[in-house]
Amino acid sequence: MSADKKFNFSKSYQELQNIVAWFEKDDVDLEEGIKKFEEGAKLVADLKKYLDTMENKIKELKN
Amino acid sequence: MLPIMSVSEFISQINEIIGGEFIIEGEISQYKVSQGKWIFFDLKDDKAVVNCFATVFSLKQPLEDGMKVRVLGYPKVHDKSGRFSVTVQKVELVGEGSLKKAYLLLKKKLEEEGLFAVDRKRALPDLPAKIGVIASRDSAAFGDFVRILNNRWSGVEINLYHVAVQGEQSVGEIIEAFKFFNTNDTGCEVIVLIRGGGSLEDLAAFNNEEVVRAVYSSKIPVVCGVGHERDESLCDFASDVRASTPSNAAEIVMPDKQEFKINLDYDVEHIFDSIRNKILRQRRSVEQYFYTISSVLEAPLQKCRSLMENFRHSQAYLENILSRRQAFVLSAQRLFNSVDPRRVLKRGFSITRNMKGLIVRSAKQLDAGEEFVVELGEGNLFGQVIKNKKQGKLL
Repeated sequence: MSADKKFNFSKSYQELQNIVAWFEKDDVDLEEGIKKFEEGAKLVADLKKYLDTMENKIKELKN
Repeated sequence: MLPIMSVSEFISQINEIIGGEFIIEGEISQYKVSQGKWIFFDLKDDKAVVNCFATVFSLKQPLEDGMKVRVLGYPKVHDKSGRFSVTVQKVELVGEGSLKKAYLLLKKKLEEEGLFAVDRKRALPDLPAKIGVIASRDSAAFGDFVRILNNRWSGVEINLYHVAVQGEQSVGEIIEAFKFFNTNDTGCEVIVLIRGGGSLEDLAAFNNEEVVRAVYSSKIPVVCGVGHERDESLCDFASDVRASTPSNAAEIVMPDKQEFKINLDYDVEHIFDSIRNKILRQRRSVEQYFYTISSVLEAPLQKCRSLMENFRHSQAYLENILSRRQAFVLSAQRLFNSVDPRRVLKRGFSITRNMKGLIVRSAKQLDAGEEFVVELGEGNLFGQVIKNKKQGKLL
C-alpha cells in the first residue's frame, strides 16, 4: 500500500473474497495456490493497515 | 328603507360579509367522498354542527369520522343550493387519537399499494465508501450515528444533507434531499434517514405520504432509523432496512472493524488450511500412486525372479549332465584305446582285406590270383593269392 488515497478498500476486499472463493474449488493448482495465498496475505495486511490508519470524514452537502 | 335585492345579489352580499379565513376546531362526522373528487363532512362539537366541503386534491391526508381536527377555510353560501358550508383549504389533525387514526389509515393504504412489500427490499452494499445521511446536523440522532460509526469503522465518507426533521419545512426538505441524492452523482451507495424519538406529532414528517413515497422511490437503498426502539414510522416500513435507532443504523451500514479484522485473519487461515490440505492430499496421492505402481511392477518382477531361479537350477542340471558325459567320453576313450585293433596289429597280428576293403576272415573268401591288402602294425602289403588252401593251418 504505497499511498492510502489510491487504495480501494472495497475492491481489495472483493479481491480477497475472490481468492477465498477460489480456494473453495476442489481442483486447486498448488503452485498457483501458493501465489494466491501470498496475494491474499498481502491484501489482508493492506486492509488492516487501512482500517488502523484511516479516519472517517464528514462532508456537508451544499444545496 | 331597506333595499330590495335579487337572490343572487343577496347571496353575493352575504358571502362578502362573512368572507375571510377561519380556523375551526371540531370532530369530523358524515365523512364521504363523492365521484372521487369532492369531499363532504360535518364538523361538530357538543352543541353545533357546520357543513364542510373540500376537493380531494386539496386534502392529502386520510380522514375519518371521529377525528378531531382544525380546519382552515372560508365560509360560503352556495349560489345554486343556498346551502351554507365551509370550503376547506387545509386540515390539521389534533391530538394523538386523530394522528394515530390518520397514521393507521395511511399505513393501510400504502401497505395495500405495495410500498412495504418485503420482496422489493434491496440488499445494502457490503462496505460502502460513501454514505449519504439525511438528518439534522445538530441532532442527537446524527451525533449518535457518527459516534457509533467512528467506533466501528474507518475510512468512510459521510455526506450529510442537513434537513429540518420537524415543523413546516421538514417534509419539503426531506423530499428535496432524496431528490438530491438520486439526481446528483455523489457516489453514495446507501442513504441513511435518521431522527431521534418523539411523539406521533413530532414524527409527522416521517409519516407523511410524500416523504414515504420519496423513500420508496429512491434508487439508492435506504436505511431508516427514526426514534427509539419502540417507535415506528411509515418511512421505516418503506425503507430497504429498518433500523431501531440512529445508532442501530450505523451498526447496520458498517461492520465492526475489530470483528472484521478477525474475519480477515480467518480468511488467511482458511486459505492456508486449503493449501496445507492440498499438500497433504497430494502427498497421500503420491504415496497411493507409488503403491499402485509398485504393486503393478511386483508381479513381473516376481516372475523374473522365479525365472532366474529356474535358470540357475537348469544350469546346474546341465553342468551335471555335461560332467557326466565328459566322464563317459573319457571312459569310452579308455575302452576304445584298449580294444583298438591297431594295438593288436602292433603285437604282430594283421588284417587282410579284399580289394573292396572287406575283411577277409576265411581263405574261402579269396580265389587264386585275386589281389588283397594286408594291414600290418606299420604299413600295408599288397599281395596276390598264389595258392589257396581253403582248410587247415598255414603252418
